[in-house]
Amino acid sequence: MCGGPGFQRSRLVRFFALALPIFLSQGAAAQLQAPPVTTDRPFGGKLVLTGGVTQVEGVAGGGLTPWALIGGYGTRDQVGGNGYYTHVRSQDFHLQSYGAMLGLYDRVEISVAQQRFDTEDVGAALGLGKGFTFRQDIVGLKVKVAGDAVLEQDQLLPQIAVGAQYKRNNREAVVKSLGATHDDGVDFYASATKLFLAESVLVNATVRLTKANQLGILGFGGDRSTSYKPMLEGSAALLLSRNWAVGAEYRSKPNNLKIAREQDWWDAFLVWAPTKNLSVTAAYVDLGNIVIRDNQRAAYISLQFGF
Amino acid sequence: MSNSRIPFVTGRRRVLLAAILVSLGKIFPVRAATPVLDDFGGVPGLTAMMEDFDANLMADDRTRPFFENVDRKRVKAKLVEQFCALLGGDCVYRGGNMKGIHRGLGITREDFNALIEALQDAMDKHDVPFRSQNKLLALLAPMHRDIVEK
Repeated sequence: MCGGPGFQRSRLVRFFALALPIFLSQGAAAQLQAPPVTTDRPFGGKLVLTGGVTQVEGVAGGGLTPWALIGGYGTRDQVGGNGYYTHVRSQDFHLQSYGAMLGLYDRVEISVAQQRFDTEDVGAALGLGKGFTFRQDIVGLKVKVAGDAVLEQDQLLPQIAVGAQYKRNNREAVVKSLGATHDDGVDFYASATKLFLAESVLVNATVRLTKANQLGILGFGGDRSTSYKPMLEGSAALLLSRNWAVGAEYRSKPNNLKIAREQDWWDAFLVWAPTKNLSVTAAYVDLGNIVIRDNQRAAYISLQFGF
Repeated sequence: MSNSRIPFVTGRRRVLLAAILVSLGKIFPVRAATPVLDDFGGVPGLTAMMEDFDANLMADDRTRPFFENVDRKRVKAKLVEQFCALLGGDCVYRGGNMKGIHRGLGITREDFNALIEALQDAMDKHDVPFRSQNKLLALLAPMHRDIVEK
């Protein structure tokens, strides 16, 4: 029985049963393997901090300035979103800003925000009443049109996005009495953002067409000018680690109202993003003249929660 | 008055000078500057780091399916070659080209980013300075064009 054909066949079968997997694994050595099951997730595929934080008008960016990044951590196959709360306190005023945004397929960003500007004692001095508050609602839309700020490290082309912010102020009578021509308006902007990863530096430049007086909190257009003006905004950040960045921003502003002398803003900021779900931004902001008070310097704190 | 020959350096003196230069070269070898590779601990550092990179890839269900059934020993060796070459080290990458290796795998942006995170964790563990980490990542990032298909 030992030398019979049945034994021969079973040896042959055993040989192939052993050899075939070895042969296949040798083939696989040069080639990664397609997984049998896909594990694609709907959220959270970007690298930490590459969705930016939320700027004061509710758009993904720095603190003052929109960036070309689409907010949230959704890749081009995913969606992302954020909620934020920002508090800015100067010597004579405070501003609260809060809202939410949705990032769709790393292409489109939709945002809603509300700002409450509390005039504190200045309200009383202006005859509006102590703690008189302006409220402004903002709806934003941003579309990425070119580039990838993070991955295209061998190209100079930045990520470019265009956006619009519709803003509506709830104090029509007051802003018109201050000289503004409208209680609502639309800002249009284009942003270019580039991460120079080998240098650990991120740079952004934004051009904004706007009629807004102090973001729109004091209305739109004015007795000095009613036309759209191009304003330049810039940001530069140094990445300190995966979770920390420091930087500075500048935002030029129009000067449409005779009663005030609206000035450009700048800030210095520190961002901490311990996870993709939370970031904390602290900043020092130089606001210049606000209404009737000069040299307003503010502490800025912003919390962002999202995915 | 210009003279292309160095004064007093003729004949036996020239031979002596050459000998001195050659021995100086042996004592202080002049190599291509590789400060970034040094931050990775050279090739031994990269080799050690790759063990943790591999472990991180296996621990993440976004990356594990692509690597669990391949010859990971070979992958690690090829990655050491590739990173060493990218960082200006005295290595030659002899693995497959990026597009060919990853063809048909259906790798997404998230999968690609997940691999970067696994690498960042490994570099952190091996105390590679953040700025040097980014120099390597800046060289790897454009490879997304050959790797990401979805």
